[in-house]
Amino acid sequence: MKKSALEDPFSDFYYKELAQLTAAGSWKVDFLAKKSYLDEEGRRILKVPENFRPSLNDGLRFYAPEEHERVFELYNQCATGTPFSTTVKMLSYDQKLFWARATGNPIFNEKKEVIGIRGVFQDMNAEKVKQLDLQNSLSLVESQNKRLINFAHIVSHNLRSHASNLQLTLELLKSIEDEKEEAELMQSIYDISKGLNATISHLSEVASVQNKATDGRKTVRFEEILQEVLHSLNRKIIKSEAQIYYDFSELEEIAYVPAYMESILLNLITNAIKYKHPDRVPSINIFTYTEGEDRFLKVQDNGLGIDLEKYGDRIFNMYQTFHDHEEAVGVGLFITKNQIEILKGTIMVESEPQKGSTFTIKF
Amino acid sequence: MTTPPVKLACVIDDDNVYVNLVKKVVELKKLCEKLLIFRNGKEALDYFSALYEDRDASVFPELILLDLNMPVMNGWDFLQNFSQVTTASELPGSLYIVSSSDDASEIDKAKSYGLVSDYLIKPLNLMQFENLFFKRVSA
Repeated sequence: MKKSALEDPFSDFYYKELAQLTAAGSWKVDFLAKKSYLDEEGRRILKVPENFRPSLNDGLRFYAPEEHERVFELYNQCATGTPFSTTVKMLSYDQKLFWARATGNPIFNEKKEVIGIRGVFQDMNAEKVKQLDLQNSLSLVESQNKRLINFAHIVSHNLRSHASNLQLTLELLKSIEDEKEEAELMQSIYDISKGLNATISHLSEVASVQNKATDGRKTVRFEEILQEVLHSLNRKIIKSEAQIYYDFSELEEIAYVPAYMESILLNLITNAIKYKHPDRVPSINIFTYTEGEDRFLKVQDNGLGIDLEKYGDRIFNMYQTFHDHEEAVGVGLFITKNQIEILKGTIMVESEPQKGSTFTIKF
Repeated sequence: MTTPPVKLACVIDDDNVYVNLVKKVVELKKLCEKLLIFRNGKEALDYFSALYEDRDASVFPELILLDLNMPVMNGWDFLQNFSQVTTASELPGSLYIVSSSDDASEIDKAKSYGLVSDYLIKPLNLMQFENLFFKRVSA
């Protein structure tokens, strides 16, 4: 028996062809008949079982939970006559998330009252994922580029400082006859050469970050690496009486460049001790956790903290130091951020002066 | 004996080697009677703010040499804060930026501050230092 076009809104031949060709599903809600329809392609995309009957009440089940509020709003607006067209995260019957392009149009009767909604949704997960990937790479490249410029700028600044000090020293040496003064100027040449060597070793440290990236990822156990780091920091830890707590039970290992992980932990722990608060013993919390598919490492300290409103964008820049500390060099966090970003991760900092800092790494 | 051209001058710079060299230049060429040294913008700002509160301009440096890249408070933040304390017309002395950076955008930015007399790129030679102290013209 042939159904009439009114009963089956998806009976048209071209409609079906088009739906298949574009992987677009169609749906319709009929307010008068209190019925919902889902076409063949829609069923295929949502992977619903054959006997599945769509209903108005559980329509939201096909959307990611975080989209529910927005989708509900769009439907309600559509039911009062406003069409929508959006990109939305949908959820198939078997609980697989995918990105879709979705439209909805109100159906009017002759009195211009809305008597239903119909719309189309198109699976565009592959495209959307690619787009998000592209956006990620773009912002990664942008941020690396920015830091490279900062790096080149800073290095030239630094080298120029040494060069200009050397020039001035030599000029002074020429016009001085006093032997004691001469000796002092010789000392300054010695200091300049020490400074130059330090700059060069920072340079090669930064350059080696890139080289080690090709070592490739291996399974890295957080606890193992941490123990190595704590061992190498043993003297500093004892001297500062630092308390170090860790918990890697939620995420014990990860595929990472081992040398990076060691350097990241070493830098963050060294900083936590170096910039400890004068009134208290340093206490450092290190733990891993997961959120959905994302994996994180957090390092919390109770040290001096940094005024991020003032320094925010500069904390990861090279040769930026914020505390009047003789050991402050301004290379560690620059390298840490580079290592993390080369492996497509991110690092974030939260901090409050006098309270402490928390670094969160997303792998 | 010649009198130094400047009574009180001031260097705001965290580079110890450089600061020691300036001291030597000043001694050797007898450029000023006293040289104040601040290791970062914060130390200098605290000092100057106190002077302004006491309204004691007699101990205000006639010449300020300000570096840009410093810990705790860099040259930019110093300028920002200092312009809230004083204006160019109220400033009893001249303020020069002395930096290793030859970045055009930094030079423009520095010159946009009314307080800044000029931007000088390190290295300064002995002659330039002398010019600064004697004539207060751009070195």
